[in-house]
Amino acid sequence: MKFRERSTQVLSGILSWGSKAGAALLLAGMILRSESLQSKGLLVLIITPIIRVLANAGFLYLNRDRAMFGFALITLAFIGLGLWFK
Amino acid sequence: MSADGFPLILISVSFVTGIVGSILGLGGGFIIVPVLTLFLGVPIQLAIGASLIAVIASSSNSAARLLKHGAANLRIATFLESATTAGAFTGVLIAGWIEPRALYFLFGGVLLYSAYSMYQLRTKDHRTQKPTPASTALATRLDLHGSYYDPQLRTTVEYEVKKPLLGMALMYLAGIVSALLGIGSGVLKIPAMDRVMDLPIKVSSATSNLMVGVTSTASALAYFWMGRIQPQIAAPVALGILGGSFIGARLLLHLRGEWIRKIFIVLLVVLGAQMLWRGFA
Repeated sequence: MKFRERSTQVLSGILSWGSKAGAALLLAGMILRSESLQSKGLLVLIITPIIRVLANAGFLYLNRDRAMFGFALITLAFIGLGLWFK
Repeated sequence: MSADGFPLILISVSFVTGIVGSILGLGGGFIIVPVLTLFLGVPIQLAIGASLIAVIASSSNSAARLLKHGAANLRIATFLESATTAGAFTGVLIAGWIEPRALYFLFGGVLLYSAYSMYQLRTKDHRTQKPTPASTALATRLDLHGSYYDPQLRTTVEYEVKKPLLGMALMYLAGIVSALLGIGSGVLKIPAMDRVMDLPIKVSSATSNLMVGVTSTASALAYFWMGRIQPQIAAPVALGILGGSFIGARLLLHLRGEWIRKIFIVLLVVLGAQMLWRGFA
């Protein structure tokens, strides 16, 4: 299997498992009426796309795909800047 | 309405929204906010917070499947996300200077124009024209072109990306709108990819699904830290959306592209009219 296909599978897995883990925590929080668990579930859902972008940047770096790695870095930089500014 | 029944209503409404949002690649934020505020009496700020979570949850869930299937183009998403997040940052910077009324008019106008341009595509097949080498040179250098297997057509569809820089400029604008209005702005991303970059509608929709999560995540984190995301509302909404988008992502691959386009045009007209109405009101 090509490196690109493998990395796509990993990224797909991150999104899939991130959303499943978030949903499981939310469901457990709703059943147990625990706000703390629900908050953790929400946080897991929120950071899942950031982890996907980070992992993608890592794969692009390993694949020496400089141009696309640059675009991924720009994305991460602007997410960080947006958070810092708010 | 009993307090015990409220989460169930939220889950049911969000489930339907998740199916629609996932099929159209919109995340569903544009439906859930009016429903929560107008019909269920949720304050607008909490509704927007829950909507952002819904957008991210829907995006992650359906994008995982669409990415694996090949309908979502990761390289196009990586290329365009740099512009949407730059736009979102610009939106954060200029948010305080723009009159909300002007935003409603601007957004309404953009939506109606998008509906018009997508309606035009129904009568002429723009993909019959071969893209000129100049418009695809950068896309070729960045290896943005792709292919995916369409189960509905039972064939592998190959496509070439046109005008990537113009697409990027439009994504920058979509990012600004996203930050200003608190939406994933898939309504702007899909027409830009479909009309300008000449992507098949399923690729536009799937790639938009992948991108809207990233566009919304910075705003959602800020909302979370500011306490504007209430777990009692956001948790059932996110669960419903996740369930709905699970079904929607499966439906997307089997629906005819022309049907997706028709549903999308109707939604654009309804939303555009709603935005202009709010501007006048």
